[in-house]
Amino acid sequence: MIALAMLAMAAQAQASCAVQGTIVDGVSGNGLARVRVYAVSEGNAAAVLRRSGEGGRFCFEQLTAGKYRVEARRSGYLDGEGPAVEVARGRAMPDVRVKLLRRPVVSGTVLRPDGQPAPGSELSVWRRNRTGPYQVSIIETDDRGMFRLSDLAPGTYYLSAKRNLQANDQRTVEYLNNKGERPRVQEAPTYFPGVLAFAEARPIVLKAGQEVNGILIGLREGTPRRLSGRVVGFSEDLTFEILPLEEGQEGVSFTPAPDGQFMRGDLAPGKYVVYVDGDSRRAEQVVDLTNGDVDGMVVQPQPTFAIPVTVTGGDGSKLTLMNTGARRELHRIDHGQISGLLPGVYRLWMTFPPSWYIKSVTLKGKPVAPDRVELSGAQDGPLEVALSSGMARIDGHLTEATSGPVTIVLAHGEEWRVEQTDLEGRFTFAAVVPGKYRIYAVEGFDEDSWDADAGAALPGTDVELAEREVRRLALPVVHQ
Amino acid sequence: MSLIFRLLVWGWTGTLLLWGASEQGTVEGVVRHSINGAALKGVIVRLVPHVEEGLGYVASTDEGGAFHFSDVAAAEYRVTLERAGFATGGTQYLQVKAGEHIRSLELKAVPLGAIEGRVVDSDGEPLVGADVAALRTDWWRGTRVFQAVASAITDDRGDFRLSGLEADSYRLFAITRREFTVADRPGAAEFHVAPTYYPGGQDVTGSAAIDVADGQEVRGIEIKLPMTPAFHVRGRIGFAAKEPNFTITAVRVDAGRRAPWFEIYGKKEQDGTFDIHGVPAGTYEVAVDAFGAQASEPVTVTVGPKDADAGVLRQLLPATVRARFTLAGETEQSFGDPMFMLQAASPQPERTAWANAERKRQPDHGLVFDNHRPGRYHPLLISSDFFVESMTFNGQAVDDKGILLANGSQGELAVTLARGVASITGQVKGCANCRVVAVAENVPPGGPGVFGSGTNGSGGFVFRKLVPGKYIVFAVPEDSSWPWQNATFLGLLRERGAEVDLRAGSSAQVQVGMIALEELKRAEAQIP
Repeated sequence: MIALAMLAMAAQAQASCAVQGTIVDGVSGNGLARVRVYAVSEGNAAAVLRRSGEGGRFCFEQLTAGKYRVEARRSGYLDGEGPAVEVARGRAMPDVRVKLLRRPVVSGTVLRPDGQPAPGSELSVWRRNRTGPYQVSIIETDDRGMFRLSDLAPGTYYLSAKRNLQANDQRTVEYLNNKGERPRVQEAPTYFPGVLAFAEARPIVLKAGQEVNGILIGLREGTPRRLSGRVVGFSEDLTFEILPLEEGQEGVSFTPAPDGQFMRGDLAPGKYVVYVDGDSRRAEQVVDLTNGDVDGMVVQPQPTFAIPVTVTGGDGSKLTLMNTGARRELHRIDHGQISGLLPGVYRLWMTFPPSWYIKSVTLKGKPVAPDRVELSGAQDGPLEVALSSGMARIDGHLTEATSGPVTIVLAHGEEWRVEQTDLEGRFTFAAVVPGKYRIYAVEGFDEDSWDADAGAALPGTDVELAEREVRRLALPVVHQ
Repeated sequence: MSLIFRLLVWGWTGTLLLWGASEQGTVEGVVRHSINGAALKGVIVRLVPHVEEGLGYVASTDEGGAFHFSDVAAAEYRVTLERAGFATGGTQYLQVKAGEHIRSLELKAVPLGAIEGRVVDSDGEPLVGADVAALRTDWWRGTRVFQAVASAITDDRGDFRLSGLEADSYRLFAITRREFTVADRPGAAEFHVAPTYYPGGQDVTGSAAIDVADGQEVRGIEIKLPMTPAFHVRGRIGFAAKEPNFTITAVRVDAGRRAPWFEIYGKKEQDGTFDIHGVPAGTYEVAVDAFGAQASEPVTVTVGPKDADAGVLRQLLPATVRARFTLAGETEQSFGDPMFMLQAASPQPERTAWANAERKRQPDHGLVFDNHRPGRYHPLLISSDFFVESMTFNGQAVDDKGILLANGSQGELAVTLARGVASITGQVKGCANCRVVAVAENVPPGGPGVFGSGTNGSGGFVFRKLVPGKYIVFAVPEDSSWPWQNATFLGLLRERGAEVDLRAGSSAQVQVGMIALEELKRAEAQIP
């Protein structure tokens, strides 16, 4: 049956093509044969499959009218996707060109401090943008402590590893070594090539098809830190937690002794926030265990306060305040007020229905920035947030023909978002928050190297969008 | 303030008072490779307190495989070993007495095996991102089941490595969830890369076993996933979803049992309908969100040679069971809080526990199993003092089929307990440290059916407070478990055991010989 199907495919290849094009190597530009090319329809569960022939050419005949995306896969290459195409009766389609990049590969081994392989270690892959490092994936080393990363796009990466302690995480047992000491087994996350700070991590630059093998990450060991102290006015209705300031790390929670004394002797070096939380009292105190133990910490829960909060528009929206000096989100909103607050600077986070945005934030009638809501007491309220559904839209096209999709960058200060042009050089930004923007059409866009400074050096177009405005633009192409 | 004193103040009072009051012991020994006897460097040895809390000890072996613990508090410990590629030993127990110096402790680290290979499509092209599972035979109340014990994802070369395998026979299964269902043209017959057992086929019964010895690495296994006709399973969810992202799955039913690794995901539409596509011909159990609180009753469908309609999936509603206990023949109903559970008749854990199931103790020592997932269960008492003399569910005597909790039902279990008053003591010939099992033949439902014990170092053993009834006692090698509840297996070996008929209040003495591993394996292999 399969053979018949293949014969049928071959026979139909002679017919005229509803969608046709070329699969090329993204670096050399040479056509790639034997690529599985799929026409994936929006409405159909099944994709139509063809294989590219000589010179990377492919042809889909007999596609029914509708929208399709073209996906291409070949072993040794990262999956590729072409622009969306719309098949319509009697409409001639331009050639679709899909670039495939050879997979870069990074492989290596994570070692324990004694040089033994560290199986089951957590290996994190990082990138860095204008706001700092961010994690792109996490994998586990195999039983030999080895790892192989083969689904990364070309770019600049950083690696870190740490022991996954969950497998033998006997938190209820405190281990001592022969010297009666806590053993040096608290392996902190270690960045390649063996440093404890991201700032000292060595970047790994991956180009298409490049294999970087033999990476060794020797886990660094450090003495676990001890934190001890007392919670003033401790009572059983309070919850107690020590949470690393750095995102992505788990905290510990436990109950201090009845007199408020507490001690944890198993904390990795680093900065922590000690949280004590109750109905009307809270504490959020930062403690630095980077360089050694801290004993005698006095944790003093403070009375919390509440402020009235009003959100207009955007039914079902959720408002959260996050103390910028800590990590904890606070979203105790009831009867029109947010409670459990301590004096501090908060960042406002909101989730709201699609196509809504924050139009204004005021504190006691005065406009404030959503990322800097400074609160000292109940007298600072009310907090009023106005949401609007009056998003703007940009419809545009390129002023010149290009050989493939071009990235359109819509920048607003330090923030930016991108869209790709379609086969005919058109693009759309739907749901744009009204305001001032700078917009660029960039061929060869590199996310890694893009920031506000890079944008400022390129010729772009300034636009200011009003509520519900639909702006039409024609953009020149910037070749990078 | 010393560290020890701090610990004393903040929580480990019991252990450390003991420590302070008694003389310390020492423990030293060597860790060797279990096959070649070589001393192993860099093995982390832990003395874990038997009670799993308090103070433990950790050391690492040196170049000669030696380890040493000084100042060890008198207590019972479990000894564990950790080194890459070796089993984490954890079943050896060590009693350290006050002032005792334990020397020449010899520990064996057992190397683990691995299976390496490649997953390819029908053209021999490597399949990237395919899920591969190693399945091992297990026994569930005497019937053979397969359990996935290791998994891997193929890399950019289609390669996989299944590691951490104990010596055993394994079946391999591969599935890709990133390939498209394809057709020659829109509306034509559909095909999909089929989930496949090594060396081929969609049924585990047709798969080949791969034997892995201690530390063996089996290489060069190729699993070819063919392109086979694919079908749709469609239906509708008959209840409002509180969580928008719950999953709909079709799980293959193989020889009457679910094969959870053979799972194909579907897509739910806004209007509540769903479509699971790319499904090869066979029998499947279709359900919503088997892991969540908002699950559906499973529906069994047969797929191929045409698409299947699963109909309307009804919400699975929790069942409640109230259990009441009575102590037979005694006026004072003193039996504490019995450890009583509902053991699922199916081995798949996701089908046994409700996300927020609760077992609530009642003031009269009864139990309420609240929010329980509907299905068939075996009520089970774990007790060293009592046994279940009789039991009814909604007024009907409970037999060895267990009880059936219907969707959203409420039920009453009446359990009559009796004191276990019989015992078996004995001796294993020619084995100092081995495992002894007492297999119950005619005791009422409600007990485990198989009781296990270790020997005391000189071959002696004892089973106390047993249910009166007929038992067969066997001795087998340590660290091995066998399908004693399977009639074929038991029938083949019963002559190697000692039969005991225990009456209330009686005590029997037996002598048994250890059954060799090979003989046990031969008997297991004869189970149909």
